[in-house]
Parts: sequence; C-alpha cells; structure tokens
Amino acid sequence: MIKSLLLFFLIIMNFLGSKAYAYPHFISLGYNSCITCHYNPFGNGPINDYGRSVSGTAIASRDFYDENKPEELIASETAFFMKEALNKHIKPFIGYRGMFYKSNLGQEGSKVEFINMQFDANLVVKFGEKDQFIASGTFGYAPIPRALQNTPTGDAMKEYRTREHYIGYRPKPNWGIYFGLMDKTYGIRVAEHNSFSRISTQLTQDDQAHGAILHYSGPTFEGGLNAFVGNLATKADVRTKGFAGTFEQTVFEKNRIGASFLSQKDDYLKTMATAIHSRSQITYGTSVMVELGRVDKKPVNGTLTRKEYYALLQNHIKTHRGLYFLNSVEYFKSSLDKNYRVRFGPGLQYYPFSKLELRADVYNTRNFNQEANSRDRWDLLMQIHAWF
Amino acid sequence: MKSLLVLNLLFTIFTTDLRAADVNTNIKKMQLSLDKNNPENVEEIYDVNEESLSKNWMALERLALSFERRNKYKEAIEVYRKLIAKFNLPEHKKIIESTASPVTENLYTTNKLPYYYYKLAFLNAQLFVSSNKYMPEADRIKFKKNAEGYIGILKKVRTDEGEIKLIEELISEKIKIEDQLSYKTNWYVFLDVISWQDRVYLKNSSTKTKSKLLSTDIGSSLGVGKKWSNSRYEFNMEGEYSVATSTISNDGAGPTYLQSSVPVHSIIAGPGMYYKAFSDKVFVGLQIPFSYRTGDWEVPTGYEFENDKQFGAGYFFQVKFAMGNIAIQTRLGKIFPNPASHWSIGAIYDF
Repeated sequence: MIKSLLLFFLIIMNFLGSKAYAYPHFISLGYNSCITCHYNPFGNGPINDYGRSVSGTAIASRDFYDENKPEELIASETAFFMKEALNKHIKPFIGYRGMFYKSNLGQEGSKVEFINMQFDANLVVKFGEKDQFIASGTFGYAPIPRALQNTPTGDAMKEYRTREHYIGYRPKPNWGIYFGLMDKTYGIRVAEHNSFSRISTQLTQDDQAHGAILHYSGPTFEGGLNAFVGNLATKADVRTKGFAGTFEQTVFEKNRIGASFLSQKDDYLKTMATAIHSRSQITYGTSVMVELGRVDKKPVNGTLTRKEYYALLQNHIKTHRGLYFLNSVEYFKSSLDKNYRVRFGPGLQYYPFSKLELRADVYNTRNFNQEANSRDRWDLLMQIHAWF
Repeated sequence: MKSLLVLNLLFTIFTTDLRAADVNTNIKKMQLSLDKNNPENVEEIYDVNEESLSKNWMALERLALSFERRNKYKEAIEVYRKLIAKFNLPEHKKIIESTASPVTENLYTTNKLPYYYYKLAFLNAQLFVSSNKYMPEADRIKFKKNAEGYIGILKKVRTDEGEIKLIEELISEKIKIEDQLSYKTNWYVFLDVISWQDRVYLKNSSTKTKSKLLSTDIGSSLGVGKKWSNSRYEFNMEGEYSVATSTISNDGAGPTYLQSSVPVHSIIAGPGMYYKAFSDKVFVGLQIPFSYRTGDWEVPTGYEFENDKQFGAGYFFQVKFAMGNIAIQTRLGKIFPNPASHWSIGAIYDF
C-alpha cells in the first residue's frame, strides 16, 4: 500500500514538477519564504506590514469592496484596526481562532461543540537602522489540549499563557538569530495542528520550546537550526531538549524541496524524526505540498523503538481571488502493528476581506485495522480566524 | 398646332413640378417619422408613393433607415444595394475593380458610397451575429462573407478605421462564442488514489446464517474516458480499473474473521458531467458510477461469501482543477450497496 501511495505521489509530482509557510501553500502566490510576510522567519504568529498588505490585496477577495476601490486603499486598511501605524517600531497584533466541530457526521454519538482555539494579543517591537533588532511577545487564551485535559500535566497548564515570545537580531538581511519560546524548525509548518505530520513529530499547537534559532535565507537556499531546552513553563520532566533543523532549496522558480530533522528527549521519551518535503507552485494561486517522514520513538526506560511513518499531500487551488479549494490526503503507520490510517479532507478556505478567514473542512479518517474495524467516520470542522 | 405644343410643354413642366413637390413633401414626412421614432410610417409613405419615391435616393435612404430601426436588416440591405446600383453604379464598379488601396478620392468623395458600404458591412455582420442554429448554414456563410467583402471595400475608401474595427470585432466575437459553445471531443486518462468501505456477508454453508463483515479498501486506479466539452460544460463517459487492498473484520456478531492486505479489484464506469464554476480552470460536477468488484478474501471452511463479487451503482460529487492538459480531480460520493463513502483524488491527462 505504501508503495502504491508513494508511486502516486511521485507521479503527481512528475506531472506537476515543472513548476514547488503559517500558510506555506502561499508559495502558490509567489511567496517562497515565510519571512516575507511574518516576523518569525519560519512563519506562524503576527504578520508584518508587508504581510498585512498582501493579505488584503493578493489573498483576500474583493467581493465586499466597491469595484472601483483602489488596491492601495485596501492595503492601507489592513493595518492594526485599520489605522496607520503610530510609529514604525511598535506593531500590535490581535488574533482569534474559533472552531465549530461536528464529529462523526450522520452517526449515533455525533457531537457538536464550539472551541475557542486561540485569542492572542501580540506586540512586536523592532528597531535599528534596518530593523535588525526585534522582540515579539504573544499572550492570550489557549485551551488545554484535549489529550492533556484531566491529567496532571494538563492541570498544571494555564489557559492564559504565552505560546511565543522571542528576541531576534539580524546583523545582515540573510542572517538572523532568535532566542525565546518558539515553534521548533521542522518540516512544512501546516496550519492543521491535527495533521499526522505534526502529531507524530510532537509539533502541535502547544509544543513550542525555549531555545535559539539560527536562520539563513539566501537567494535560493533557506534553512534554520534550532537548539531547545523545552518549554520552561512546563514541568521539568516533560521539557523536550534537543535539536532540530529544516532546509529548503529553490529548484526552478517556484518549487522548493527540503529536508528536516528533529532529535529531542524528555525524561520519558527519545524522539528522532527525519523528513523530506516539497512545495510547488503549479499555476499562480495553486500549489501542491508533499512531506514524507519517519519518526523513531524510544522510551527512556525501555528498549523497544517505535517507528512511525507519515505522508502528507496537500493541494490548494485558487478558484478566484479569496477562495481556495483544499485537498489533503494523509497517511500514518506505526511499526507496532500492521495497522495504518488514511485521512482524506477536502475543504474550502475563504478570505472575504482582509483580517478574516473562514474555513470549512470535512475529514474522513479510515483506520485500516483488521482487529478493530471501524466504520467510516466523517468530521466537519468550520473555522473562523480573525486578526486585527 | 404650336399653341398645342406650348400648352403640352407647360402642362408637363407644371405636373413635373407638382410631382417634385410631392416627392419633397413625402421625404420630409419620412424624415419626420424617423425623428419621432415612428419608422413604420416611413414604409407606409413609401408604399403609397413608391413610383415616385423609388427614384429618389433621399427617400430610399430614409426607407433603409426605417428598416434598420425595426431590425429588418435584410430589407435594409436590399435598399442600400439598390442605392448603389441605381445611383452610384459606375463609381462602384471602378472601386470594385481597383486593386490599389486607397482608390482615387474622386470615386467616393462626391457620393455616399462609403456610407452605403459601411451600412452593408454592418447589417450583414448584424445578421451573422444574430444567426442561430435555426438559420440555414448557407445563409450564415453568405452574411459573413458579405460583411467581410464590404469591410474589404470599406478599407479602400478610407472610412473611419474605428468603425471598421467595430464590425470586425462583432464578427470575430460571434465566431469565438460559437467556437466556445461548440462541443469538442477529447480522450483522457486518469490515475487516482481510491478508497471505499465494503459490506461483505459470510454465510454458514449448513445453517445459512449470515454475518456481516466490513472491508476497508484503499488502492490506485487507472482509467480512460472520452469527453465532450465546450466553454461551460463537459460531459464524459469513462471507465477505470482499480487495484486495492482490503482490511476486513467482523462488523457485529458472528465467527471471528480477520484479514488484511487482501487484493480487491474493481471496475467502475459511467457517465458524468462538469460545469465550469468560479473560473476557467475550476470545474464542479457529478458522476454516475456503475461498479463491479471482486475480492480475494479467504473463505473459512464451512462458510461461503454471499457477495465477494458485487455490482453497485451510485453517485460522486467531483471537483476538478485544470492546468492545460493536466487536471487534479477529487471525488466524493457513495456506491450502493456499500455502507460508507467512496473517495478518490488523482490526476487527469487530456489528449
């Protein structure tokens, strides 16, 4: 089966290969690197002034604007609360994500809930002649992850906390070094924190770690090395310490191929992960991303190493400005058994105007487990993402 | 005798003047009707006074205009042709025969030939543009050729280039629309990752009791199809052969039955359609699949399968994104009597 999937991915890539973060699929709009639009060189978190303009004039639709409204005016309204920046050094940002979730569609036991996933306030301060010094701090509401609820680790977590804070220095435009609490540098940082590529590698929405990141961004090569000591706000025994790195090379104009590694350890588990990936622009507004990875997990006090394999294929199609159709196929297998899981998820992503993203996905998860056959399962996820 | 001749001459002059006065009055009435947007009256005046008005180019021009305003293009064309043949034939012949461009100015600066050519080109173009499938093909070709012919003549007599371009655009736009609406036939092949869930019944050969098994299948599929598409719609007929692996186990009470990596083969064929939505590259549609599936599940001793070979039919919702000859296609639907959904994602190549 793996061969079949791999063969398919390779064929797709061969078909489309002539032309390869946050939202890493925006390579489709010509944005190869995250740092173009984000303060954090590996994406996620607040967007910079240029990113705000791009969100209004290239990503969001014009459906709710007068057809004669100039793009320059739309761009100027993308600033914090539509006001022009007070000064060029202090950049506030507020973000919210909520999700309507209906599980097990059409089946008994179907549940409906609304989850406030994130409500953050962020302040970026940058100074220096070329903005080479930067400090970013985010604080806000972050729910206890479901897997940790009613556990000692979960009980120790606070619902209002910081998920990211760091200081950075870029002595040259190509080079930067950052210290603080940040996401680890590994793989394609897709927005779906429930994807196998993020769950298996333990890089979900609350897996940031304090550490240092060295970032390089050249004309065709970009990479980052990350040394980390775990999240100092958590208990010492679950702080993951280790190294990670991700590297991308531009091949042809709008394709990037990359490789990543992650080595980390807490008091209970050693994890070693490696991955290769590609991001490709097919046509303007349309992209395909592929990541193939292997994760070895070995208990500190055990001998049995569990090997996990995952594959991610994600395709974004711009139907018209502001509206994207998404396709995701994911594969996950653990060496502990013969079972594997496949997740299929078509979805729609709509930016009616700058500062608002609406997204609807349906996910079909199939568990190929001969010992515990599971009925077909469909989940509906509808997200609202607003930022100011 | 002389006095009779003089009287006759005076009478002729008098009646000619009277007729001339009548013609002028009628032309004024025709113009007044056009000014008051009553083009029907123009034809009535003409019909009543045809004998005198048919010899007057001013009357004929007004008659042609009245036809134009009532979209009676064929009649208007006849009148303009009469205007050329009756009042401008020698100059017209010289212009036709001339090969140089532009022709000598005195051939058209002293008459209204450029205006008539323009009208004839425009009206023939209008007839071609308004043509539809009910119009005989010979007529359509005639109107197009006539329009193009008069455009060619117009170019010789230095008429406003913008006006000529307008008529040319009218014709080319019509050709483009017809081209877009006409259905083109293409063959295509596609390669998909495909997944579905199957219900299989295991029957005890002696007691005839049935137990339900659930098979979860995933594999790849290679297909070929023929499509008929225009700028808006696409209709297809296609077939695909799938090779998949099945993971199967009990779905309820019954003897324990567990197997994985069992080969499953299926053939799916059927008609479908796409509608071009959102943009030129995005298609949404519906497919009606008919399927035949076989599975090589191991038969336990004393049991038999009731439907290890099964026919089915259902529906797929489908979305396709095309980039030249390549397209990415996603399908989601159900094939009955399977208990769960069927999905696929893959690539299409159009020949």
